[in-house]
Amino acid sequence: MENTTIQSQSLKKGWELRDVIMMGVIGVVFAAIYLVSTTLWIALQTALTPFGLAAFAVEIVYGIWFMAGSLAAFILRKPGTAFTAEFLAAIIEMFMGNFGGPLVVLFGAIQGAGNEAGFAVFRYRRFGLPAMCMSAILAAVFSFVTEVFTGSVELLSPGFVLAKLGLRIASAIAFTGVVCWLCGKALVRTGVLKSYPAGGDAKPAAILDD
Amino acid sequence: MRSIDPTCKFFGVLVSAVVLAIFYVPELNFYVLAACALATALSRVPAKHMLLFLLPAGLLAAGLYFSAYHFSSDTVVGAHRQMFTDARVLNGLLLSGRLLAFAGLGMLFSLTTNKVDFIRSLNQQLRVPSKFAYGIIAAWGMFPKMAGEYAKTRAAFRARGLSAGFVSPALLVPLLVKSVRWSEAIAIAMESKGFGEAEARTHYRVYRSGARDILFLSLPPVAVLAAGLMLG
Repeated sequence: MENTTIQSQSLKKGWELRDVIMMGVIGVVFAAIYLVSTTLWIALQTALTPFGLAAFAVEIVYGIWFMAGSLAAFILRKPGTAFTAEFLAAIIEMFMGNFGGPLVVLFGAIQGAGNEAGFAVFRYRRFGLPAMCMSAILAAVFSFVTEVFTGSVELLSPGFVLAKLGLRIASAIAFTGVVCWLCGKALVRTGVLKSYPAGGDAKPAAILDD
Repeated sequence: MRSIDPTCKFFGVLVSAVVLAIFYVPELNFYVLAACALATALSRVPAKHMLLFLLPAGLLAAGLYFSAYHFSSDTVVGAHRQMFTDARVLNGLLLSGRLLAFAGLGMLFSLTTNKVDFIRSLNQQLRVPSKFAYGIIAAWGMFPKMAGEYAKTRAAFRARGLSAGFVSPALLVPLLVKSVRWSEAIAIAMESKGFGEAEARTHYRVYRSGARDILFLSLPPVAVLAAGLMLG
């Protein structure tokens, strides 16, 4: 009896401790990936500098920076997860030494809002490839709108800016849409998500029964 | 800078950065960078750490400068200013200077703040739920273990004759599987030690903001605003 009341309480509150820690741990994994991709961005950008195409470099890797939110939402399937996970990943990325400092956290929050909006479009009922891609596209658009404000994109010629936006959306669909979805699928197949909403209807491979 | 409450420092730096983004004044960016570098140096941060922190931003800023130089739009902000005769140089300096100023602000926060202190301060001062505060601290504590696990998985791949580079997507799924298991284990461990939201917590170290902290929260944004208005 007492058990059921505890369970219903935790459901009402939304997240259990293990959900929060799951988001945090995903945040740590992806913060490390984000930092590696930042290095990749710098390398690419430095290589493109002499051609004046350096501002494109960031767009190629940009899609990587939305991955935490979408993957966490895929696993936990609760409203608010995408935003929170992306936000936590940004905080941890700041801890790991991204040069943006507190600004990274602000950007993470905005990107997370984009991630979240993508799943909200489907009313948190679908978490398949279309929803993942929608989440990716909206995260890209949200982040781009922010940059119009902070990065003074308007100083570049309009064609260049449109090309940047297109490239960013393509990158988001590739990384946050497709790669995250594949990762999520692979996780479900291993059976570790059995106790999470994502793994509910999964049939773990026989080889893992040990 | 080290003794300022992390929460106040965080918002002081963040609001300053947002205020800075309003202005189109190339010099202002470099003044902010200089002020941040000075404040960080005065907090006894070794110059080597500061340079390493600013290095990526410096490389990016150089790239942005040339991008803006080559693909400048026709809008020239601050064209009335006599200091720079070439609009393209001006636009380039603006874009790259802003990035450097943001990096300076980031450095001021990151190199003078203890991470766990920051989370605890958020927990106590902004009433961030303990579940989140301790959850992040726990997850952050897992980082060295994850790095070890990653190396182990790579070694396992090599032992099987599979090639996996330093950054390989194939290594991501095994790491995520371990991460899911660990996050469950941490949650169970914390709950079995009686961690819960219901009881009021007491704290070994109490974080409060004094006059100095409030001053840091309010002064830098106002200073940036005033400087921007004066120069612009």
